[in-house]
Amino acid sequence: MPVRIDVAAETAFDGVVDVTVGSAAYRRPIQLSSGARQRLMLYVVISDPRRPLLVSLRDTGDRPVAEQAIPLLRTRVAEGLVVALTADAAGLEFLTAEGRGLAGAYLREDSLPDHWAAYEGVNAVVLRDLDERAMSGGQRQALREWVAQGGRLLVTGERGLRQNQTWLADLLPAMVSPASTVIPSGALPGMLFPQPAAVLLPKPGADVWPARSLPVVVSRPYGRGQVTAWAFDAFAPAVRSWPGRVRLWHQLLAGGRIQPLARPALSDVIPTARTLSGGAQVQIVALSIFYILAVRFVLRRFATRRGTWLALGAVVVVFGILLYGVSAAARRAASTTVQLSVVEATGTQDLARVTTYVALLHPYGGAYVLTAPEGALIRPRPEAGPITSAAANTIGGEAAPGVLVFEAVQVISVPVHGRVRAPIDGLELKVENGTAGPLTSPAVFLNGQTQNLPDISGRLSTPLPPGRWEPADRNAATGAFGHDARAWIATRLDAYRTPAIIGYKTLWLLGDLQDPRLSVRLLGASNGRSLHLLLAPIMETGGR
Amino acid sequence: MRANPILRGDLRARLGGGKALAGYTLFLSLLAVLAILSLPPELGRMQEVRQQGLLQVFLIIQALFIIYLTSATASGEIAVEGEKPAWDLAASPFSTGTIARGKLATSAAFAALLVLLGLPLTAAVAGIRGQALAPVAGASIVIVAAGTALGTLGALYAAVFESDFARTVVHWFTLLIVVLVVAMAPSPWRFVSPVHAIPAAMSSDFTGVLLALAAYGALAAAGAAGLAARIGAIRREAVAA
Repeated sequence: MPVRIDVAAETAFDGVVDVTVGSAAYRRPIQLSSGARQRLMLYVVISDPRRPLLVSLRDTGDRPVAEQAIPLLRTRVAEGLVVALTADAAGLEFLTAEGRGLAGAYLREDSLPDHWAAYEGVNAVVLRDLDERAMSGGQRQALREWVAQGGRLLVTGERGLRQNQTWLADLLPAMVSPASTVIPSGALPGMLFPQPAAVLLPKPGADVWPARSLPVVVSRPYGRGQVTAWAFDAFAPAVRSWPGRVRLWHQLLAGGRIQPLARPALSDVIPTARTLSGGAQVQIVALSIFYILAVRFVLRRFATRRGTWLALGAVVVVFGILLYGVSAAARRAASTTVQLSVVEATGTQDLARVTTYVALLHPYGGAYVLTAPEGALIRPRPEAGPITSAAANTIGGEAAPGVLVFEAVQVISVPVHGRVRAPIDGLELKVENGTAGPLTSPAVFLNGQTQNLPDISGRLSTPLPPGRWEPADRNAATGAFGHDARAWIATRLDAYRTPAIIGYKTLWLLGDLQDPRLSVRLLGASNGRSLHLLLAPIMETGGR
Repeated sequence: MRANPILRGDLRARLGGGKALAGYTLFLSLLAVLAILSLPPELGRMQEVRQQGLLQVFLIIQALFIIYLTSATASGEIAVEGEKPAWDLAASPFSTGTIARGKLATSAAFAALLVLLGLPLTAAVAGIRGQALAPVAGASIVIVAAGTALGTLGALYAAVFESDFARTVVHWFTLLIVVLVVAMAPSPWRFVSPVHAIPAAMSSDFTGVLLALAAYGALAAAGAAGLAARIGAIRREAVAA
């Protein structure tokens, strides 16, 4: 959950902002000059909404300067949100009344988040009274990236649609005519008053309602998400009392939030064990042998002389320190990360959502700092004790010996395109890989079956003969990291649906991607094991 | 202060000589193999119980080695070149008390020597398991005490039983009782077994450790008293004959 904290300082301040949620604590350093204000956005995991959120401002001596407990009211806890950008905070009350776990929230431009991850609990965003000048580039990008990876956006109102905002034009499912029109009373069943409406010119592939007259509702997939335009104002007083609006809202929100295919359960396939390095094992064996030889030497030479015990003691102390030091150092050096990234192409604008699960193997415990790529958000799964987060892409803390799992999410550009045609004797696949590295061990999946492909550097054009399809391996518990990750994904592909992706018609391309933009780094340790999988939906063209 | 002459003579014999050297090499080699076998095949799954468990197992096996070696060398089951058994010492000019204290001190010093020699390998296991050395110190005290007690009893058996077979049977019977039978006894008696006394020492269970040390102390005192009495009896028999 995103938590926005506004801090104002009358005098210069240097310290931290602490947000405590249950047993987890998030800490963000803050420095303010006299009279300055700063807004912080922290992304926290709330596992128990019965406990209040404790926000405190602490100075460098860890003394509290200001504290506030924010109760998470039961009435404010919802399974999903519909966020409306509107000047009038009214029109979404029916959501709460329906008892479906949804709640409405009304925001203005300055409250919109500038990272798409803040929309993760949002089922739909409604844009009505939108002042383009009041929005930052980051806020627009956040909204676009969220929609591309499965968000639902509704743009409503004749006035708002006709503003023809450049950044929104690409998202909209229809071109908007400069002219406006009026929906006469009775044109929409049950609507008693005429309504001003924008003239929508649907883009190819858009769903239009009603089908045979002036389009009133137009929707079209955008990446894995959906953008809908209502030609009339959803929050106009006459529409708020129109019974037919509820059906339109239900259509908009049908199916709930669209989630990425990579879910937290995928982290189960990450190996959380690592063998002691061969070098360390050789060192310990060699030191043990030298020790035995040294003891033999001392006993042979000094057994009958004075000072035998001293000589033996010296050998024991020297080898004791050496063996303890070498083994403890080998253990400390074993702190590493194992990470699995799933790069899910959205199918639009080369945007891809990356979900990275990072297992921090921390056999000795102690301090750690993990840094995700710029623009990414990293968070613990589940709570990992007190956490310091200097930025959204950095997380650190003190951990007990063991394994901690983190999730990093980001949106990047991955120029991999594909299309598949279906002539009579099978399928023809064309893939274009515009990334810097090859796509290795690629395979395509369709209806629970798979075909392996050669590595893809640049372009690949290949037939997919019917006889070469094999059942996809669904055993994700073999212990082989790469195999299990692929099997986990393959198992879930058939059931995966978004407005743009229809399971039985969508061919999936899955392959290993080499991309340094995906690496989460552990401070003070060499790069651990990592696997980056690209998952791209390839739509069929030409019918089948 | 002069060291006990029995202790001096026994230690000289046990530190030098080809057989003793081979014994130390074998003992350390076995510990080294154990240490290497306890290197974790995987460093990720870090349940603390399992981590501590392996060090405990290492120390318990080490304790069993040491208890056997101290008692077997004292009882004569493992003969050490140049070391005089209690039976022979009856003919020496030393007092029974000196001989009994000397044999007790020999067992204590030998057990301490073996613990000392095993320390670097124990440190390797502790290091790789991320364990501090403090619990090892506690366990070492228990091992030395157990070795002393069983070693003194071994010296007593050497004086009591003339027959090698009878001595060996009684020696193994004692080991079986102290290590296994007592381990199955209800608490607190089970702490007398090193199988329970060592974990108690590692987890700072002072009651268990004190009970074990008291029991080992009593065994050692009883063994030394018995040895003194037996040597006295041998001398009287010799005079009478």
